[in-house]
Amino acid sequence: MSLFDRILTLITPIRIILLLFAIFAWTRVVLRFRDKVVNFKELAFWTLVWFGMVIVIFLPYKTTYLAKALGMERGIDAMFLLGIVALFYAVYRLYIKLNETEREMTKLVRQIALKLGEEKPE
Amino acid sequence: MKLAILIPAYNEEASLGKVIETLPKELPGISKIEVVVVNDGSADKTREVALNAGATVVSHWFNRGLGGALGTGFEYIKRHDFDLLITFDADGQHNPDDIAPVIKPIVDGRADVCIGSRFIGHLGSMPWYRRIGIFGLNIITFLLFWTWTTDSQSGLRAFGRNAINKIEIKTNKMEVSSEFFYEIQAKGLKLTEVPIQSIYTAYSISKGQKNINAFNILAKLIYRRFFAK
Repeated sequence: MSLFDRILTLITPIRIILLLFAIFAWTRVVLRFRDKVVNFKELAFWTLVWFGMVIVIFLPYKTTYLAKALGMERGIDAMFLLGIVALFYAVYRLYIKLNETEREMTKLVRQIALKLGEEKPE
Repeated sequence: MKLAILIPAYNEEASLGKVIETLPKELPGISKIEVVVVNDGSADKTREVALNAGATVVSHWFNRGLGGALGTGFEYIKRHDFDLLITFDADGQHNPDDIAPVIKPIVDGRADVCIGSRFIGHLGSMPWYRRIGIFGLNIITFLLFWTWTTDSQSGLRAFGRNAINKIEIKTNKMEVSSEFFYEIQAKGLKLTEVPIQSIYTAYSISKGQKNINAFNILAKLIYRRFFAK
């Protein structure tokens, strides 16, 4: 089988959709980097994430190395595990962030209330 | 001694006026009593009712919850040089006659903080499921903040000047009741408890907490204990 044929067998509709999505998501990050909304570290992180995604999409057997390193048999198991860990972490970050935001809001409302001052009965 | 009676109120027009009217106008050892209502973004006539009943009103622009309202009340009272602060619920579940015994340990200089506990002595008419919920929160409060109390969720608490100046409220909602015990322990304040009686009406029960909320409170308290800056 020639190299071209091997590449062709890799192309399936689901892979194309996922590839397009990864490219789309990555361009969003690049645009936000250009607008200076995210810094270089974040850009590098997301580039790695989406590049890793493309590898997993087209070369799923590569994840088997990762699974072996984690003491598992199948690459898909390792991906699920990492995905769940990442999601837990994301939820944890969101929870902390939300609590901080709530606190900032309360501080703001408090300062406004005290600045406007108390009302006394007539 | 100047006493502030702090009432956090959110949509309490139905009960607040009557609650303020029944509050004591004079107490032994107290030269001045001021009722401070923190109107926590109420959509009803809570503000007008409080003003008509003769209370000082500080208004939140929008609703922040019990902790937010108490924090604002503490800050106001700190800035206005009060010697004593008592928190009192707006829903009518507290007996105004309990104010004098709750402030007494502080007036006498025996404590910095005094909690009016519904679980000392006569147990009254608290619904059994509410008792279980509060007992659970007492244990959570103890495990997280290392302070044992018989009523971690009491709304009737008195604070002396030392406590008013030291306590910092950082939580927003019902978890504030347990947060007080963290502050008491962390700031080395002297705590005591006296028995009080609650008046359970259909109204005050409907305004009260649900047991399921204990899980939410637990999460917020863990956050407060280990993560909040």
